[in-house]
Amino acid sequence: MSDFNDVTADVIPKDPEKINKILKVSAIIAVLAILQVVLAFLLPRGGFSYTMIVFLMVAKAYYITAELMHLKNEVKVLIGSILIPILFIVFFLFVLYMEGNSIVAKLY
Amino acid sequence: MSNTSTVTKPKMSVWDGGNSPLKASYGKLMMWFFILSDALTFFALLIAYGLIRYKHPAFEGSTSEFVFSQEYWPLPEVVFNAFPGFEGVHLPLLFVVLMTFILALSSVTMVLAVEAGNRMDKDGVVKWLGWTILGGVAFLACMAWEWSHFIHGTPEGGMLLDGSIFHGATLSVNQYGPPAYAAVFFFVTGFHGLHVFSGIVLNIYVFYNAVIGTFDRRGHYEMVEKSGLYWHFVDLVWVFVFTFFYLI
Repeated sequence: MSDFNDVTADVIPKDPEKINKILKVSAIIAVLAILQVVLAFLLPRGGFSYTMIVFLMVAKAYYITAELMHLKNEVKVLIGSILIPILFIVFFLFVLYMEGNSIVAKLY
Repeated sequence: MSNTSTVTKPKMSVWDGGNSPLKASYGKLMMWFFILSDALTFFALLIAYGLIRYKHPAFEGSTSEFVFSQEYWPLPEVVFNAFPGFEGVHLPLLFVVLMTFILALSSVTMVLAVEAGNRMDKDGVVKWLGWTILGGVAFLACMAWEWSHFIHGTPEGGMLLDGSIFHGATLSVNQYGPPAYAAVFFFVTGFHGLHVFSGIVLNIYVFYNAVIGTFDRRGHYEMVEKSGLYWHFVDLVWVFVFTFFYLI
């Protein structure tokens, strides 16, 4: 190969602590996912099982965004500008839950 | 005299744009805001799905008594119970769990690629990004099989409202439940599949540039971080789709 490709920067050695952290977070996400599936089969369908499954989903979403996407390490303004619009969606869901009957009745 | 010197001075004051309050590079910031807008699109699809599902009656009874009918929303563990090579065997959600596992695993390899990039470790980036691309392709292949099975249906089929037996699904009719069921399934999982596909294309582009040494010459591997953000987002969306489409 040409010497052009041989330009390599110094490789910083691996930090086993960081790798362990990644593996630990992955293990937590895996456990939450397995728990979700197990609960979906064990609990009878209904409000309680749905609440548990959605709670586990939100926990998984937290670990993915905060740890894997490193949103936790960003500055507060950036975290806020990503999360506050999502909070409006959550509020929208709440409104739909309270008033959804009238929308669905008008749609069909 | 003092006037001329201020002209040549770089604009570094707060009101000259001389600071970056979010302490993130332009590319990363734009990726975050793209992800936010994309998340809103997915929320729109999922909320539409929720409204449509809420409109249809749910099946009241145990899973073992369930039969396909146009009258109520089907149970996901009965619709998605097939596994390649085990035709006719009832394996509820096993294949979907495998798909979830593959995508989550490719997310883990992506973090490892980003971590290697932070250490300027070209070999590490190439190795882990390669596994990530492979995981994405495997996920898409699984999805293609699942769609194919969903479209072709089961030998027993299901009864439509006019009394005829229909096998599989199209956008307007399906054997599993109300017509809207297959339509939302195709839209939501299809839109997610499109994102997986574009993520693979992006990852291949980054992989190629890592191999030819673009990032070493540039002095940083930030591109891996950016495509990593997108890939994690794709995994995050699957967490939502998996929960609302297959578990609830």
